[in-house]
Amino acid sequence: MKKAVSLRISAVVALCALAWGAQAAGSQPARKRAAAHAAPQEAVDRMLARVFRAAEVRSRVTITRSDPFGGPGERSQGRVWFLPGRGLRYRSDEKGGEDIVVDREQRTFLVYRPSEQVVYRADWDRAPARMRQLIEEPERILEAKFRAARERRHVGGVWREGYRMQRATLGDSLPSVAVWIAADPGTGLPRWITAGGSEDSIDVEFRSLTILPKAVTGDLHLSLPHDVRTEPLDPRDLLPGGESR
Amino acid sequence: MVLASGCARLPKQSSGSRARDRFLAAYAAAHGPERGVAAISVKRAGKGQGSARVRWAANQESLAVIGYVGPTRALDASLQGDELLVLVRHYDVGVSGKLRREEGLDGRLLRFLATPWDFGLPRVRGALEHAAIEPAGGGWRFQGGIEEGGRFTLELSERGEPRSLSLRAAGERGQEIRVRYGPERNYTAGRIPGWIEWSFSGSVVLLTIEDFAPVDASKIRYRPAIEPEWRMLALDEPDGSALVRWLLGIDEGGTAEP
Repeated sequence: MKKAVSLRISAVVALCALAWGAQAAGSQPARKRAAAHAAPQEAVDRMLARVFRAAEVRSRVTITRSDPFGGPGERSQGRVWFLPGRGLRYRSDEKGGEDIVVDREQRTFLVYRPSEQVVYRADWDRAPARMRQLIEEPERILEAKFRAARERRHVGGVWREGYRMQRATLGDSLPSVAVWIAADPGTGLPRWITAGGSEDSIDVEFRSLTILPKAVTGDLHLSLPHDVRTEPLDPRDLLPGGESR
Repeated sequence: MVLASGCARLPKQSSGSRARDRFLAAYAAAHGPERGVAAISVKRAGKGQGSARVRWAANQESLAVIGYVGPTRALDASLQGDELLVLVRHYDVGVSGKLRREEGLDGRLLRFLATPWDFGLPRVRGALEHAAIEPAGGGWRFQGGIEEGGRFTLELSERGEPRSLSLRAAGERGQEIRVRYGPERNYTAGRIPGWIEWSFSGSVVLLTIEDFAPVDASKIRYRPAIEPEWRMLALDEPDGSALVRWLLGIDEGGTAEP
């Protein structure tokens, strides 16, 4: 349970998926009104259920990450496909960006780097633990106990109504991370999430978020050029900073 | 770090002692805390190439580094003297403890090698003050030792800018690390090379510096929050030592993997 509610700033992809789930209500006006008047906890629960019980969720994302040392932040854009129970894919739109696929059924963890013309392949078990948990046990997110409170924040030049979420069980070694989520006022679907701690923060905006009635498993399929090499995924390829700094 | 602004375009020095004085004044002056942002790529012999982004902040003998893979904060590392902390966030695992020179991991040498343009570190400056200097290729060559850490050769251009550094760690199996310095660029915190390249045992690591600026020392966190479910290893236990060597590409004999 503790792991399921661990809203860590380090697991950005997990946060993205959580953000979908942590958002409010549906697209129907009546539902939006109902959500607006519901208790925060109830509203958040409903949002979580909508996403984590979906067949598939697709979205464009803009991720802005702060510099822990006080420098300017960094912004990147990409797309996310989340198939609860089946897999997760994040594809960066940035030059040299990666395409990452975790597929539970295929038992694979793939990282494609177009700039290197290499796809790094590993078993499912080598995917980050948080990502696997999100895919395997989305229900645990729904069962997790956290507290939600209404809070307005200034996002994109406008004050937005949203919810601040915290772990319910204090007294343990609670990470000092606060998560805030707000819905797109036009659709009621998740739009903004901010996770901030004492060290850094990350803002994620979900644009054109779509919940599909049926999963398209082909969304987890990497379309690779013929000359792409496949290499085993050695975590040092992902963590070269450890070699020099 | 290094250069006070305006010190970069150095005239050719007519004697070794003048070249040394000028180099120390320009490149080994005391300075405040600094931070940077860079792209890093790694090529290993017989293997592929990896790349990532890093942010770092340094204050005297201490250094904090964060590595990002795509949008994810993947790795935290810090060095405070001989105290090392590494967190591999992707795998909820970390290691901490004291580096021991006799085991092939010298913390202060690692600190210098991490930012090899910073000749102001006391130990490094002291070594340069006592190094032999001779003309070489139109520029100058320093040769000496960094205490018990190892022997070094530093070559300067005819303008007195660092061009290459070779450092061989102490001991029979001491690993040789070579550093090449790219042309200097102006940054907020001064002039430093636009890129640095490390070579060791067939591996080549290239750091392309994008931003380099002063930082408030209070913003540098060397000990990030550690979550209870992470597996933390001690550096003096076999698994911890193995993790650090694995990340650094060093085998049990103290040399990098071929």
